[in-house]
Amino acid sequence: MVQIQEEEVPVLRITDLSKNYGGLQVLTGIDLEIQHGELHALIGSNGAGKTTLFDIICGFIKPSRGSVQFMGQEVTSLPAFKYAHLGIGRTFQITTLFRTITVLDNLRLSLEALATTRLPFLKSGSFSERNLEPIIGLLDAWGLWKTRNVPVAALPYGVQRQLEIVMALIQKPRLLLLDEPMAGLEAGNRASMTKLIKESSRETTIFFIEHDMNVALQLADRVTVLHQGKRIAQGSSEEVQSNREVQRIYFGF
Amino acid sequence: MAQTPILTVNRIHTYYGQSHILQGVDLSLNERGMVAVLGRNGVGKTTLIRSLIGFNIPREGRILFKGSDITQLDPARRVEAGLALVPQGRRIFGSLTVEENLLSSARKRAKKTVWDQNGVFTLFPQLRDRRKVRASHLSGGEQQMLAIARALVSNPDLLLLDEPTEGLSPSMVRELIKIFSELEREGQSLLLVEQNLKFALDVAEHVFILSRGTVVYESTALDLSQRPDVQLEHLGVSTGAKELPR
Amino acid sequence: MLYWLTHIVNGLSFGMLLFVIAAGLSLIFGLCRIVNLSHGSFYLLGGYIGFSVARFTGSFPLAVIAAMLSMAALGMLTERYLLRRFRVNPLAQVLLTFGLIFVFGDLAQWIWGGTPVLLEKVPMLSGATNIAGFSYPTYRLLILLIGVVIVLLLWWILARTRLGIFIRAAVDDGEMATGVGIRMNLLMTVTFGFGTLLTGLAGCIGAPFLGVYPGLDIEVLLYAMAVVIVGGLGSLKGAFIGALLVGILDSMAKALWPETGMFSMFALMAIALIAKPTGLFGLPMAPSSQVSVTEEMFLDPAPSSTSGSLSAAKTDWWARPAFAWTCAACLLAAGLVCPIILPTYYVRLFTLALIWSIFAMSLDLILGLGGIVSLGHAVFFGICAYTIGLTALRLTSSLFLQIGSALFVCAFAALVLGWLLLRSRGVYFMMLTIAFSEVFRAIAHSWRSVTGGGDGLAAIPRPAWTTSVETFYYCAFLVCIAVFVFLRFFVKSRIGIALVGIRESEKRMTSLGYNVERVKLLSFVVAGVLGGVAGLLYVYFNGYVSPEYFSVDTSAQAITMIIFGGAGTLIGPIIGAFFVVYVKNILSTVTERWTLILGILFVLMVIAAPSGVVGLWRKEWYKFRKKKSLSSE
Repeated sequence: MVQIQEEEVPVLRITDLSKNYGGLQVLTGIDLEIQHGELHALIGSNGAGKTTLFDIICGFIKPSRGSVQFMGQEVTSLPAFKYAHLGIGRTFQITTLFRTITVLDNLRLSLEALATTRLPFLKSGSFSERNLEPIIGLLDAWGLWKTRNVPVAALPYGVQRQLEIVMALIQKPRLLLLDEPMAGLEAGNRASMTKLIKESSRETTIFFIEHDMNVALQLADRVTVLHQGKRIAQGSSEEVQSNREVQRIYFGF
Repeated sequence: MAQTPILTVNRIHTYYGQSHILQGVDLSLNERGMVAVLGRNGVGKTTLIRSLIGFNIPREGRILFKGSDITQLDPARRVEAGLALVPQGRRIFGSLTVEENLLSSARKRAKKTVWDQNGVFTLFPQLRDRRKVRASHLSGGEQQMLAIARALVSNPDLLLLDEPTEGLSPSMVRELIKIFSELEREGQSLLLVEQNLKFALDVAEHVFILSRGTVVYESTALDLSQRPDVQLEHLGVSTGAKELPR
Repeated sequence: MLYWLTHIVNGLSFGMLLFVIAAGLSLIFGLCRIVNLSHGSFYLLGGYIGFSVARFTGSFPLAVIAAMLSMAALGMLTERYLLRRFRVNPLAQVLLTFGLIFVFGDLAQWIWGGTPVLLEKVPMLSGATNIAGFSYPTYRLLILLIGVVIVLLLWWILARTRLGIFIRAAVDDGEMATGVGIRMNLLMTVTFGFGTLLTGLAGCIGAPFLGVYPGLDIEVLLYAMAVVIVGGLGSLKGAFIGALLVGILDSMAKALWPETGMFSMFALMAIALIAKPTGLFGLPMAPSSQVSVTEEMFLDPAPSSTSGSLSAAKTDWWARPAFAWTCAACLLAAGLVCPIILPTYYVRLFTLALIWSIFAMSLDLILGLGGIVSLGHAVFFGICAYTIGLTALRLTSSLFLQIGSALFVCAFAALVLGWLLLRSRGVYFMMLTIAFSEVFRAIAHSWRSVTGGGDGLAAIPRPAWTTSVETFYYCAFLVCIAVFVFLRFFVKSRIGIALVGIRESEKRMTSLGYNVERVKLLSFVVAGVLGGVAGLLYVYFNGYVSPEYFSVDTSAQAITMIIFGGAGTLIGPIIGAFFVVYVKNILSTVTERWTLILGILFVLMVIAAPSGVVGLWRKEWYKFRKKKSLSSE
């Protein structure tokens, strides 16, 4: 019964969302729906409001108007840290892993965030082996198991970007937000990142920002195009590509 | 083609933190006229401009401007040497008036055409009417004009333009085409970084295409306009094709 | 009526003086994005130099000019040679200006002595002037006039000159300012010098009615900070309105309640913080996302005092438990036998060092681990000490009740202060912590009937056993170990790990689902209470309390210990505490210039070894481990 409901309600529904800072209008009347299991891309040039939209979806910024619903639940006014507990995970454009500690500890930190205890300072932050199981599985799947005891700072940049995603995935989010997962990667790493995102999207709904129109169109099931804070197109890759407004604004036809 | 290059970029590598953005860019610009660097979003165009003006210092490679090495100079020194920037997003000083914005960068230099306040007000008459207005109150198009005017009054030898058409209405883009052509006629050297292919082909004489941090193609604008295959491969669009392929 | 009018005029003229000071502070902040904590020291030096020049030449105007120029020069030198090297790290810059307070303050005391000096007014300004039937002190009116002139002058410079355009452009968008050819380095040096010039001027014209004396630097700093907390940093309008508000309120409150007038300053700052954490007209603090992005993208983060990491310690300590345990056992044994084999003198010294260890460890919990740089941790030391003193003198002889009430009061204060102060962050937070701890010191100083004023509370009844040097040593030793063990657990608990995570990235921790605000507040309270524990031991050790417990010296000593030993570790602050206490003790037999040496030590450590002794050792170890772990794959 519950399962059926989950399938029916969109994972994310954004209605008439606007954000302005004083006179500066960053987002205007955004409507967006992301269905269960979708791999959805958000495209837009610099200053289109992509990251602001992400920050609103995960609660860092409160919108000036409009609402965000997650799995049918109104979340707009919740404090930011609650979002992760509901099942919204996110990565950042700039890697924000904890650099001085090992890969394993980073993942533990992520896993522990959702554990609930009444007296957190009485509970040791170190982990027993049984907690390791989900980590082992995921690290294996991403081919990162051999790096587990290396401090993050010592890892190559491409691996750090992958770990950034693993860190969110380990919480088993129902919606995963990826902020420019491809940014700054070299060719080889891009290919493996593409593959990893594709694979992860089988397990969870993914919404990602991508600068590169082509990458986004190749990878995503559906695409939303932002321009200067407005949604100018939404739909499948084909629909978006043939959209007159996208062509005009994006390519200057 | 026997001119000495005004700007030579020699295999520069630029990073944001650990993110390797420019992966060995080579460019060479001749004096006079406009050169465009094209590329899709996120290939490092803005980083290239930021490396040229000095906001990001490349970790490797050299930048030669008018024959001297400016790779390690800070931005102010580069402006002194004759570079000027029209940045992405305009970045005019919002709390200053139009006039004050121009005063912030005004600089005299011995040149054929000297730009002063009057000169830029003749070029952009709208700005003259609004010269006492705080720049943050200008419309997007006016802000773009102000950003160009602000760069012009420093009388640069080379003007760097980072996506000047971004967010402008088609009529405003046509206006810019006129203005840039006029600047070119007057002998101003310009380097344009752009993802708007049509606009770039309209104004530039020579083009480079940047992809994933390196230059992958170079030709005259005319040549590129007749190569829809290259346009498609590196820019994902084509001015020739009516329908976009999968 | 006349009474109140006089107070309003006094308040206005004091406010004008404050404006001149705060305008400099605000200008420097707007451009350089740092709070110059040594601003009050420039005021003090300006006053002293004015005094000397006036006495030497007999000319007051000459004195004013000399004060202005010398302070401008000193300011520019400071910016050019100390602050510029840390341009990418505002935190280190603010710490440097903090260290300079002690260097400048003690130098001044060295040169001009400890007794207050009063700058002679020009005879024609010393009388009273009649306006509309009331008579006012002429000099006060002159200050008002000078204030107005400076407001106009500043407005003119900023609005009408090219320099003003450069400054405003740079405040708007510093990077783009360099991109239009503005030389930021030069501009920052000039602006810094101009700010200290104004302060030097204020120091000289304020000297005839405020006097010049050691400690004035901190007092002035407190008022200037109150002004910018209310009015907002980076705005002249804010500085002006804030200065008049603070000036009048202070003058009225002191007239109404001579003893407790300082509470008004506390209330004013608290209200301002609750209503608008950046002050009435302050520049908005950049959205946190932007800050972190800028730092990550465009700045190569230089090692800061907080770059030592406890999480790295975790791997280290786990990596070699045998080594760590051996060391611990040796230290423990040494600690236990030391009263038996050492002379009393050293036992007392070590007791002191143990108390300081507790204090430094408690501060390091938030400073090193959480990256929450508090410069006013002394407030908890003082609050606990005063509570013990007061309860012991007036209420109860029960040790249990004394300690219980002291810890309760301390926890409560930490909760309130944490709730107030943690609304801000970074440089702003540093300023607020000093401001609030100084308000407490000022209250302790002026509330004579309760706190005993400047003399403090003496002859506090203590249980007999505390007077035995050895017994007290063991007591301190036990408490220190207890605190150490507790902190070890805390650090490794989920909340401790969360705290480290927050230091590295607040946003990331929030998005992972950690309640960042609560973790920070809880850690702040724990640190406060443990700091209080040090304070209460200190009272039982010494038998008296004085307002100096609240002073910035107390906080600075703890920070010096932490930086020396290594921030973000537990053993570091202990090493630092023993070092500082020992050095202070040796030096005090040779020279009276301990504060100067402390200041120099502080500045040198921020410059040279921000990660401390333990940090240096760990760096090598970390390199070694990294190599090993990579090669073993």
